[in-house]
Amino acid sequence: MTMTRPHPMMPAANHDELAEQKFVLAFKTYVWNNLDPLLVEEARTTARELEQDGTAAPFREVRRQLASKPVYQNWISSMRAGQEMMWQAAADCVDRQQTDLEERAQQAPPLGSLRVDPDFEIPAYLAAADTHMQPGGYESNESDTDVRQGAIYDKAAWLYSLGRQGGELADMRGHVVVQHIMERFPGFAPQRILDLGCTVGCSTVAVASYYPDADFHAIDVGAGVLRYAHARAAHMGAAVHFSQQSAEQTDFDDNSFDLVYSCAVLHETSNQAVKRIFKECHRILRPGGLMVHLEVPVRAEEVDVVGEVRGDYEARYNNEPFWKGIAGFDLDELARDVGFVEVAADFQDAVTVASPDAEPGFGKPNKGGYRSWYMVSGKKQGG
Amino acid sequence: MANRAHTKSHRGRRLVPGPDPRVDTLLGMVMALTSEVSMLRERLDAHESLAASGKVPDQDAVDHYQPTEADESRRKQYRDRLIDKVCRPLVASGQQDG
Repeated sequence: MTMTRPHPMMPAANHDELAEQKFVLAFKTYVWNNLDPLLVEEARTTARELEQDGTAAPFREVRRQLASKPVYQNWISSMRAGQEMMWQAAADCVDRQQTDLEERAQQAPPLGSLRVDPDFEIPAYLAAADTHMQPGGYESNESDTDVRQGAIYDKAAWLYSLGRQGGELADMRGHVVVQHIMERFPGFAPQRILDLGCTVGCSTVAVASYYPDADFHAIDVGAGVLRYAHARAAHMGAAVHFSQQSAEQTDFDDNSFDLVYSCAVLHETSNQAVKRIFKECHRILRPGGLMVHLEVPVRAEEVDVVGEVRGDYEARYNNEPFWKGIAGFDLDELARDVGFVEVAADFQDAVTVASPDAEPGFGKPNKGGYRSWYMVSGKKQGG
Repeated sequence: MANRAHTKSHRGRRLVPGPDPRVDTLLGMVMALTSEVSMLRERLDAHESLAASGKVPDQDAVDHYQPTEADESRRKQYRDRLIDKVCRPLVASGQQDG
């Protein structure tokens, strides 16, 4: 983390802002190293005490017991304080230079396009709460030149992942998607690609770098994040057509894409939305086209009580209400149900650069956050 | 500047379990204040570094001061010690709790 920018749209930090961001990073790290082990111990002890005749108590009972323990209360407060300070630190940095950022967006090379919909209605599952506790959520947008929400998101991404998601570009997930395709479908060369739920386009630009001649599209629900994403991509030399749409129902033609993918989007939707998104992927893919979804590496069948507590925090205190829902969702069955073939779902090792010559990483054991991702992919029959 | 009152609040912010929600509020306030102390300390560090190299530590010079590796190493030690000092009671109470 320095005062230099990894791309022209990234808000530059001055001395004090950098100091504040480093403090947030240090505090989050402290909580992870010092409070989290206590939480782990408390959760396991509580679960053990509630166990009867070798049968684990329901998690809601474990949570009820934990709720009276200061270690649990302090852990939640500290985790969330770190998250809220992170957004505040990023927002202060962005607000100091907002005019400059909007001018920089206007000066981006004329690559790709941006289409926003003033009548767009944000899905209820996103409107109900600010995802990740980012004030304003994904959709905050105050003018037709506003890039603030995207700039804050981009500035905070590095702090959020403690730098484990591909450095300041935070683009690891895009590289993992391409690595997955190279392993499962060698030689696949998509000509028309769609990124669902692109936010500021970190993964979009990464995937586009492997398919420079493709007609590349990306959608999201927020006009502000899309405006930023368009400028960010153009400044980085990527021609991407961004539009404000829901992944559940797009305005793209039937059979019009070779590749439709998403990166850590499904867990921010809902039970019904995931089904609609898979159906929409099937509708807009050409026969022979690929659907690829990357998700957080959490599966209900392998989560212990500690995983339950962490998932519960994400759902209740970090405003990711479908976090646990997606972990228990049978995504490969859904993919088959909507008509995909050659479906597979498993963990994929993380990479920061995709290569057809890399050691295969799909189907490997789950190594945890930022070291593994959960993937589901399939092909539309025909082609 | 546009009115962004709605972006200062968190929709869906759930209360932390515990006897008094003000504990959570106070923890947030203490950590925000601690971050200001840390920033102030680093700003003082920048002043001292500029002065040691014979430069005038005016506002612009400090705002654009890029810490060296040695600066950062020293600052990291201070930052970590500060957080440990402020948060030690949290860890201690957690250890007693367990």
